[in-house]
Amino acid sequence: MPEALHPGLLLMVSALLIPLLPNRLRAGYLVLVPIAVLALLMNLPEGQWLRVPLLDYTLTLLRVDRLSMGFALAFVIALGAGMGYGLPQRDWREHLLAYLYAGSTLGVTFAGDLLTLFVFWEMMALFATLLIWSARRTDSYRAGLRYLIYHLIGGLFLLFGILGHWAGGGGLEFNALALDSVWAWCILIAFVINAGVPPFHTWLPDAYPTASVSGIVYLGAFTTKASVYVLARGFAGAEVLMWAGAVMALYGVVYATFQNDMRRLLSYHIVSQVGYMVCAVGVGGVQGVNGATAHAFAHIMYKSLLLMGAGAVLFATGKEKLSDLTGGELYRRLPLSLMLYLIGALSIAGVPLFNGFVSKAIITEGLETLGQKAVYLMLTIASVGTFLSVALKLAYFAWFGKPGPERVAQYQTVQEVPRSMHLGMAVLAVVCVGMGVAPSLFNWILPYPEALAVYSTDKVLTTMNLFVGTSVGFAWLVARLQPKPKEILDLDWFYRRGLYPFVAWSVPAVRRASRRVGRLTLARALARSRDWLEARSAGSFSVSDAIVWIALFLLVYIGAYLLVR
Amino acid sequence: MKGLRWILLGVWLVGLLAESLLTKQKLPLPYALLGLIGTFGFVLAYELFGKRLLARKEDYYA
Repeated sequence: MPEALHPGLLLMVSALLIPLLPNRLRAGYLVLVPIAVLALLMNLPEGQWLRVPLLDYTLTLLRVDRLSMGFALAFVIALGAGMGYGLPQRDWREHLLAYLYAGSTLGVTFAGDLLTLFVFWEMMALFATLLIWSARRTDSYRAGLRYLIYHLIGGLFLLFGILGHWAGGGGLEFNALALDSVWAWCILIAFVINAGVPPFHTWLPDAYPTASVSGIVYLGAFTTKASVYVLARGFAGAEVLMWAGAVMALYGVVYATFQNDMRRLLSYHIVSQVGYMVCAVGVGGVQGVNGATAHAFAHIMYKSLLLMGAGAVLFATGKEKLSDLTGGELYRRLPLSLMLYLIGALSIAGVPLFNGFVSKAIITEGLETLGQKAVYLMLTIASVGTFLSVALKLAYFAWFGKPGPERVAQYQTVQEVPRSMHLGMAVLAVVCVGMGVAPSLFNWILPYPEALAVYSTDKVLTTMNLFVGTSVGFAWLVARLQPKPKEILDLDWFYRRGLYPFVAWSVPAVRRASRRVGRLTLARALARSRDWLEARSAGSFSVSDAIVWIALFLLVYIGAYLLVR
Repeated sequence: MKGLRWILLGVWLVGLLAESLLTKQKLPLPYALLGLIGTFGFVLAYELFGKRLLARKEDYYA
């Protein structure tokens, strides 16, 4: 029965065939399956399907409504475009993991109960980690491990929240949750960790730039947007999210402006743009949920396009730092990649006739209705920073810059990327422009269809003046924004460097104590953590060590619970 | 780049004038200047804070 076919499970089953196919068939298969899943999605009837009895409860694997459908469509389009873009990537493991990752993300999107949500949530974290590792870069292993630790801790919060909510009589259905218990806050914390809300955002700009050129496209599209979906489903109208989102939008864009690594710059922009969505979720109501959904859909399209554009430069030159690229006159070598990148850049900035303009207008309308002028101003400043860093700084220093003879000679032999990569980018560019020119197309994915009158003379003029004013500032201050070949420290310093002396000091003390009190589990776990740190400084460490840390966290939590209950 | 600066400045001033005339409203100046002020603000933030956050090495955590 077609209504009982889960698109996420279909993708996961389809993934299993990928290693078995010969190379010449695999390319077609990789692109055709997302198209088939897209067709399946468009024919899914609304309602609750695949209901599985478990003890006294019924789990709902497939809840289809307009909210879940809007996000699911965006995920599948991104997967299809990413597959086209990633075809030159010959490693079938990455394609397999991308399918599994997309399948688990769809599982989260269609989960009708909290238990199903948790299972797919953890699968999403696992497959994302494996996708990061599949890049096999020297830095991807460690970054992936930090990603996994972060998300397992988030998963623990989710599990405790769900169990507490269930034990308190809240049931297992995943609907709107009131922030009136510690369990609801645990669930919220799990969601905001995955959404990358500061100070829980550092995993994102740490791990994403270490993925492959196509791997980062899936990472940028799935995890944070699945989190926006669950926030919109569970916590729409929570005012704390409106303010957190506004801070997030500004924090991300300020850090993005400082970056030298193209893909890290764009990763910080994921934080910033998800801030708009989190803010919209906080606004709540029809406008808020519509705004979050519209911006998530638009963001998945243009962010994937931007990451593909930066990836094209990396693919063609082997360089991703602006300080290594500036002055190389890449606009002569990679003109089509530049044009497609610029479509994404104008979309993310919210320039009229591009999809970002429409989705941001829906969000700001909601803020105007609530009279939230301060938040409105924060988001407008974030838009200025977005245009400055993505459309001007990155594009200028990657493709243009003051030409130097040595740098130009260095990139003399660079050639445009394969056609399939451009095709994947072009699909997304068409969606970005199409939905910007015809805003009514957004009603296809909005949970609450409405008349979208976003284009008016004053809105268009005001927005254009904002961006031309930004360009004036950039043209005068371009020398000040010259990228520096150094790393910018973020809040992850506190655990990557700041906590190191503390742990290095405390672990021997615990070990001494453990000798006295015997082989206690807690002491052994702490002692293991010293070995982990030593191994880390030596250049290798294992997943089992990470599990020890998670187990430690669990023990502390259970101990605290037993003490205060 | 120098020529482009003046062209952009001209386009921006014309845009501000057009906004004022077409919308028949007094120009909301602080908002109209936000693009320019914001850019200065981001550059200032980089000069004041960004440079202090620069790690000593290119790949600090490696």
